[in-house]
Amino acid sequence: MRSKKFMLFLLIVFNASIANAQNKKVIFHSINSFGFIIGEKSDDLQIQSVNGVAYKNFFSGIGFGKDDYSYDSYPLFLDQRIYFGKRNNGFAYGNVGYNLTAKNKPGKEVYYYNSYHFSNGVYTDFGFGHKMKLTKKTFFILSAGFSYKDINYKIGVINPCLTALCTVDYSNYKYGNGRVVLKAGVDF
Amino acid sequence: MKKYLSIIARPFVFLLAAFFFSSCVKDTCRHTYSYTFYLPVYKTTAEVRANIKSNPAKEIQQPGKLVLLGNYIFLNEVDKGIHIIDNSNPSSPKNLAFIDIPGNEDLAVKGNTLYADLYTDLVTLDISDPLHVAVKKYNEGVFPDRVYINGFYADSSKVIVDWIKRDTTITQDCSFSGLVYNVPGIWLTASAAQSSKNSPPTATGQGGSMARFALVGNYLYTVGYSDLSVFNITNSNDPLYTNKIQISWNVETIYPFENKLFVGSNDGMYIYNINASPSNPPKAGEFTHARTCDPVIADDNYAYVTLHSGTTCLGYTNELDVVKLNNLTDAELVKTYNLTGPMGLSKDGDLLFICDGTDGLKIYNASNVLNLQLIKQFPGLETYDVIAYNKIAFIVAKDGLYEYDYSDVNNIHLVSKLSIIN
Repeated sequence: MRSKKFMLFLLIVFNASIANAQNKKVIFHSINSFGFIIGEKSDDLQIQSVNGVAYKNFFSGIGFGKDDYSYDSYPLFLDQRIYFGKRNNGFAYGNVGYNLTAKNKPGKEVYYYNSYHFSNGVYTDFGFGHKMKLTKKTFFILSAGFSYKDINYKIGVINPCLTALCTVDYSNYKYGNGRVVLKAGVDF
Repeated sequence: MKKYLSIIARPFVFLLAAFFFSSCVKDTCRHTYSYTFYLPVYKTTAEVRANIKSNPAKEIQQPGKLVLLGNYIFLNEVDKGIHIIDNSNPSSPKNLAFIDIPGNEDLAVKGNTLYADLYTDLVTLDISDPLHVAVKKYNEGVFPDRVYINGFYADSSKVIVDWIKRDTTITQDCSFSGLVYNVPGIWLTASAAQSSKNSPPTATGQGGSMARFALVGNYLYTVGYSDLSVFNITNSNDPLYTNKIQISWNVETIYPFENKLFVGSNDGMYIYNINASPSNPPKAGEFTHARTCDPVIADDNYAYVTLHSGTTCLGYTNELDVVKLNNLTDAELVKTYNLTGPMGLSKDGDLLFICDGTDGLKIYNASNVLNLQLIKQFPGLETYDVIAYNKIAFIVAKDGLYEYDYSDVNNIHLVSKLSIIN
């Protein structure tokens, strides 16, 4: 239920941005990037596509991606950017959204379970970047930021018993991952 | 030149930024765990033994194995004792009395004598008058597997008679422990139980396929975690512990049929011939299968093995294996039927009854074992064990003890139910 409300919120914000920009000069942008994630325990990759509109030196869009760090997930987020500098080449960005779980299996921390269920968490990414002109409407983008995602899962562990119908105890795990993300992509 | 230097320098700026952010890099994991544990309630050995008698009837809470004898049902209340139920009128069984036997999980009945486990001990009871049962003997320490493990040590000078339930929730860092299985109460390794077939001169109670006790002639056979114990009961009230035979690991059930013992373990079925040497039966054959749990029954030509996963059973197999007993040394799998979560089973004539977990009770026409025909299914019962005897099927389920009349296979119907209180 919470996830549906949040998705609705994202859509409203996005549509409001477009509606507000319809009477003025707005430009559609698609920003597609590969990311290199540097975490505490490992390094991994991510891929993202952000689509939205730019107005003056602001950009609003909705992004979706795949994040392989720790438990695989699919972040769905609202992306806001502000450009600065002499040619608006520098920018700061912020992503807030939902970390949708992929079909994961429990990790090695649980050896003996009879059921598991992953549920969604929070996704954020804040940082700054720089864009370089490739063609008239195409830019190469580099950015660095700090990203946090979390994921939850619930595992049922059977209590050994001699007769049938053994009881099951449930554990809830909440994983939080704070990572550095270096992204390179194309804005067109 | 300055412009190019600027372009080359940009990636280094981002690497510098990455270094700046790296101080924030951290993985966290919080583990919230809710569990129930049980605190033991002790009594002295003298107090426990003084209370092993026909006490007022108690509500059924956690039924285990059962034995039928005449008009009586002896139903184990797991770790508590035995209900004595008058079943002279199957449509209205009466809960007559309760024998308090702490740690009891298995039982067998021969004539007027009932054998039951009391943790590591075997207790022998005269049940000629079910309302006034009397202890005849204790064989102490004969079931050494029945000890507490998992970090829990009972006060050896006393006996645990009950457990007080405690619920708790803890939150901790995942690195504290890999698998949190923090139950300071109880985990019993093995047990013993009931069962029997055959018709020796003295009437023997009819047990189920989940039994760990078996009576044949003048011998009581019990299985532990890895062994077969033999008791001479020529004098019913004075069982003599005569032998212990190593079998395999993870032994679960024993089923007697025509001078053979069929022992079910996690990895197979073992057949022991008790014809020549009942006090020291040699292994006559075996049938191995995937590692899982497997109650077994048999008739003249076939053994029926139900394999189930889940609970403490490993593996992913849920099926019925039909094994042809050409000769005991050459048991051969002839047919496999997929099931949901089969446990206890029973056979009467051509009717095969299977407790199939959440699928309930299934009744098959087994006249042709290569093509079992489902006659009737009673879904909605979470079944554990079944005994089909004298046209009544007794089913131990999660919510009660059911009795079904199968005298007319076209009209198998519920006769009565003794409900369980929670």
